[in-house]
Amino acid sequence: MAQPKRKFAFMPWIKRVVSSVSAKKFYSSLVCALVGLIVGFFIMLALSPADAVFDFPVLITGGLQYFGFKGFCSILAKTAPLLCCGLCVIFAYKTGLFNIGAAGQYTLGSFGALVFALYFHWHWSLCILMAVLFGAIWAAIPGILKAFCHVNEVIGGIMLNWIALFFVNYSLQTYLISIVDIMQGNKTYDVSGISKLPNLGMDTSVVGNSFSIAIFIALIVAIAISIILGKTTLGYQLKASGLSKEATRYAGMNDKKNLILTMVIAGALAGLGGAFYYLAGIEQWKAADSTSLSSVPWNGIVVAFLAQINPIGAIFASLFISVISSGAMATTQTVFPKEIGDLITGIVVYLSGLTAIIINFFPKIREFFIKVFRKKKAELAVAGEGENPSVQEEDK
Amino acid sequence: MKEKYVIEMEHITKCFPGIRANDDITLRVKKGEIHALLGENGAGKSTLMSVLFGLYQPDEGQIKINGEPVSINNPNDATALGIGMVHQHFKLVDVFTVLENIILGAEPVSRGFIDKREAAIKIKSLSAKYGLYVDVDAKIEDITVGMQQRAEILKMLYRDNDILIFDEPTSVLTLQEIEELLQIMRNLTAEGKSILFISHKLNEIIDAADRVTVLRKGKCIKTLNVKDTTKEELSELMVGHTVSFTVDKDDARPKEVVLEVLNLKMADKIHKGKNIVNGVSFNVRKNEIVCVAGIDGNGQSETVFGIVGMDKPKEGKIFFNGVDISELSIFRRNNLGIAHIPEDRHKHGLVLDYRLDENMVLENYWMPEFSKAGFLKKKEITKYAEKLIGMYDVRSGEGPITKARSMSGGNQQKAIVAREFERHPNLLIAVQPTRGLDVGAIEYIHKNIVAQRDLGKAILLVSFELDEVMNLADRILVMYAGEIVGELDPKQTTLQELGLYMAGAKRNYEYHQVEEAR
Repeated sequence: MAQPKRKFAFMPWIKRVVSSVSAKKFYSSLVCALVGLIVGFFIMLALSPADAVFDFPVLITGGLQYFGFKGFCSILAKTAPLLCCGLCVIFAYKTGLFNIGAAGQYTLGSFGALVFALYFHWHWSLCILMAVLFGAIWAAIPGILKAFCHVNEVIGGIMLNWIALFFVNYSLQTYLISIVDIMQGNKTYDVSGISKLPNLGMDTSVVGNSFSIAIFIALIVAIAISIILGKTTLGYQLKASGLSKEATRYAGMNDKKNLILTMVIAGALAGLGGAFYYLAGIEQWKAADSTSLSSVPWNGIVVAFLAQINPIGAIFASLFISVISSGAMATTQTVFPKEIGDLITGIVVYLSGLTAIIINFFPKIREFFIKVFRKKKAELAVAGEGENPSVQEEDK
Repeated sequence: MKEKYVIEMEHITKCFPGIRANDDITLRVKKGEIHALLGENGAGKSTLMSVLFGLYQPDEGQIKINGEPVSINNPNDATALGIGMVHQHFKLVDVFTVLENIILGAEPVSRGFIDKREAAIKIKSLSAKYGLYVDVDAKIEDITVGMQQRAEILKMLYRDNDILIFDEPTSVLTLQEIEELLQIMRNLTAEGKSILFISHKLNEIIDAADRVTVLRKGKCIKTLNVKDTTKEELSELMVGHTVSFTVDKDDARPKEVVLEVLNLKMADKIHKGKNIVNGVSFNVRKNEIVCVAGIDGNGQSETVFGIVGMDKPKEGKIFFNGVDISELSIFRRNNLGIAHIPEDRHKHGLVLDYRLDENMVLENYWMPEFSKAGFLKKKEITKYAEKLIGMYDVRSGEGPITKARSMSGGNQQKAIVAREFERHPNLLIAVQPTRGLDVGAIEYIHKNIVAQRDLGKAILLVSFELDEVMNLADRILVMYAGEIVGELDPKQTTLQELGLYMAGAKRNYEYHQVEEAR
């Protein structure tokens, strides 16, 4: 009777992995990504059917057809800051905070990295350290406000985003005018020498200019965050205060300290992202033009939700977003605006908000197929007596 | 002649991973009777009701309503069949009025607007008919628990439900409110409604029910006529062995003062400017159980919050073993040896989305036994949890890895009790430690509290259950309106006298222990 079960009996380990909670979350994220892509494809079809068929593969492969290995390296380079920002949002979210201030922390981190790289010409590792410090301090402000004055971290964070942006632009165009190129719209000079992130001695003509060790550091950080949350007393405390503030207070954990600490660590991660972006030389900071916040930390929120608040999931999610936005640049720009990538990520995020529904939907689909399957089998059994021997065989 | 049943649940079996929650249970409720469903925590009562309500699908068995086989796939189906339920934890919107809550989901509409007048008329006629007094325009957050429950009952009546399920309805009520509720239930059955009454308070079952079905460990043990049975028989059927209702304990031999509370005042959070605790002074000594009696809401909970540090006192001092702890953090107080079984197990006692083993070390996770260099020793934690689960008979689907949220209320409570007892505190503060527990578990916890006392702990017990107070206390303090109004010796007082103090009609207390202690 219980035939569907036996199918997996000889590989219980695989079954456990495949049907684990994390796996289910992974499936539902996959579905989100797929649906996002399909909708994007239809939009492309509507814009120009002929080009869509040609350009869609370009979009989903990140334009590797054109950019080759260099393109691949560039995608990895852009993944690193994105991953850090994703981790920043995830870490705060696990503790029950929505760190929408990531953008401000990232901006301050970028600023810290740029100042110590271009003005003081410090070693890249120290520049990263300063970026982390700047981000952490900036994040501590909404943390302290929330802990002691009950200011919602979203309000505190959003306000500080804009303060950060204009503070940085102002500083660069007045006190730090020597590190920007006045001729080029007050763009910061290229980071070079010991301040630039090393690319392990690889030939820039092969790996591109922006590839660096950032992606490896980011991967290590992702694993570290995963371990901190899962295995340490700190993670135990922080997650507990995210799940039930009252119970953690009862247990004697210091909820105010935990709250501020969470924000500091999250801010450090965002600052790290900023350092990776600018110290790798992906772009330069344009002090005169930057009237809007960088899209990287915002995409960090996308990564966090697509990853379903899982640090390891964030690795895949950030790679996906990088590929799509890189692919969008490679599509026929005259027909498709590069915003098509943002559109798809937008849809994906919207859907990932519905993951709970998708997760619950899976068993229903499975049940449906099992029912159909059984029905067919029953019909077959009724139809022909010859079916029985084979059934018995299976029973062995 | 075949009798008429409104509910027939036949041979219901429901399995969860690792547990047969319902094993071939048959339950039949006659029309117009109060049928009690009795069982220990985790005996399968809630599962059975969830099956009846369409929240779970039974693996085997069938349900008949009024003789017709039905399939109930979700709560809407159940409502359509005239089944209504008053949950243990009320499902009311706090900021809505009683009327709005009652009509929620079944609003009478005229020309696109809610017709509150019509609703009010219907509600008033219903409340007159069954003796359910409510103020329809009062907000839920402003009314007493008893009235909230009446609103819940009216919600069912408003929907013309004929089968009413009461899930442990008395656990939140005062003595007087319980009397009223039982009368209401009798009125309801007199009007032809049928009631399924889930409880593990034997007195009430004997008082109110016509028949009773006893469940134990997922199995249906017996269905009896209440007339033909006794409290003792029922408790034996439920627990599986004989239970004693009185606690065996020697006289207390109190030693030095452990906890000393001096002139404690706590601010009222709802009524600004007032004190909910207004100058309370008392002490608890080693080898002594001091019981704070009183009707819920007279400042007992706030007093405890002040002692453990959850709220900051407005005035007053707290001494623990002679040391002033008034300014210390909760963490420091915990580590001095104060254990606290909180009143609200969901809000304070557990992180519901943590596993059982993670909850078992909620205060101790940082200690060397459970962590090393900032890393949790997960294996040790699980092992420790398994030990406590065994010692305190905490039942759950998957043992230490069960999510606390998925456990039954009684077993959640046992888990908290286990955790707090095993911290080996000097002072144990227990607020309603047996709330929602069955006789077997209550007996066990009471025995343990007495054992802890004999081991030399000081115990401060806050309870709204008079039996518990009389059985356990070595000294009773009665709180009324934020003050201690009486100090009584349980051996020399009666329930009636205690009741008078609790109602504020009598007073004998002057605090004079300070000199003695020094």
